Amino acid sequence: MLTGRVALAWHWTLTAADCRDYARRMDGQTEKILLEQIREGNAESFESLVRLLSPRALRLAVRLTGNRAEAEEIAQEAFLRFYTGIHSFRGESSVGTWLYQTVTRLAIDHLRRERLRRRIFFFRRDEESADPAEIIADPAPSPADQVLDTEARQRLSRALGKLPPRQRAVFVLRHQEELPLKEIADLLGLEEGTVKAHLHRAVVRLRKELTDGKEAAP
Amino acid sequence: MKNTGCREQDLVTYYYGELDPSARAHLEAHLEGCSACRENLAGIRRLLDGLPREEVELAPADLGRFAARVAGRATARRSRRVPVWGGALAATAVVVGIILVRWPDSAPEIRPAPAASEIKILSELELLQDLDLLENLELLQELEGTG
Repeated sequence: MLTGRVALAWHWTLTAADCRDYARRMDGQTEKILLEQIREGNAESFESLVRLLSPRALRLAVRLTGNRAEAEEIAQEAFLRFYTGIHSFRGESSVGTWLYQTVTRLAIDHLRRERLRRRIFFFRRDEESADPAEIIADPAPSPADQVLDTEARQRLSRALGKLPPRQRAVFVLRHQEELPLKEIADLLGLEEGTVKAHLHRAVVRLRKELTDGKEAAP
Repeated sequence: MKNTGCREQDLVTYYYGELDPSARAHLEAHLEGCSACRENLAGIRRLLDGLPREEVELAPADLGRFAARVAGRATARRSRRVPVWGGALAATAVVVGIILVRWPDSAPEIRPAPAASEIKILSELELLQDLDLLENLELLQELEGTG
């Protein structure tokens, strides 16, 4: 629980407030100590690391997928990959940066698979036709829908769902996560010009979807 | 009416304040004489300024449960690794032993060629793995739409 004090090392602890401000408190030295403890097999240190880093990872995954349950699966997979490969983690970037990148890539792969699965198994004739999975879906709001409970947010969520995965990721990273284009390019392993092109296409498509054709994008 | 120097992509980059100084100066000069780009930029501003930032509520209790679950799975994965490998090796040895004892000279079975429907399903499953193909498909669809 974040309400208590979280043991991070032998000689000091962090409060819940400190945990929320991970980026400020978690300097390189602290991270190094935690990593050493995890490498030695200290499960509590790993759990502490997950607690500290999960807010950012989960928030990003929810924004990228629009679904809380899927986001938790993706964030969990990223943490497990980190744990499995910790002995080869060279620390060239912070653990937070590594996780952020891994969550982004896992989310893009997940969205691509979902998109392809729907195309193959439901034989949709085009992207505009209704998705049978949505037609037969339980009308009760999902946890993600409860978070996005205003009509504007639901419309945005639907419009984002129609974007190709990489376009969606670039848009979310720039507009919602407010990352500079250069950082997005590094994160996704793309040229900055390619990121600009994805962002432009995403905005054009969102404009078309969200203005219902009332305001024609050129 | 559009000028020949319109660069729509720059408008989005300009909105986010990410054009380099020379490109920004060039675009601002262009905007002064191009009503189409001015209207386009105004439309982009209306859209993006009005989009809600998705706030994700994460309760401390949920985060605690998530961390405990992930740590539990990580520990289970590690403790399972050796027994699983050991079990797999033992099972393989038993199967190989049975095959050698019961059918010492048996030739490998020649499987019939898969039916057309099987091939179709297999290719679809392969498609699921080929994410780059999907990326190309999306690009082709966009080109088809614009062309």
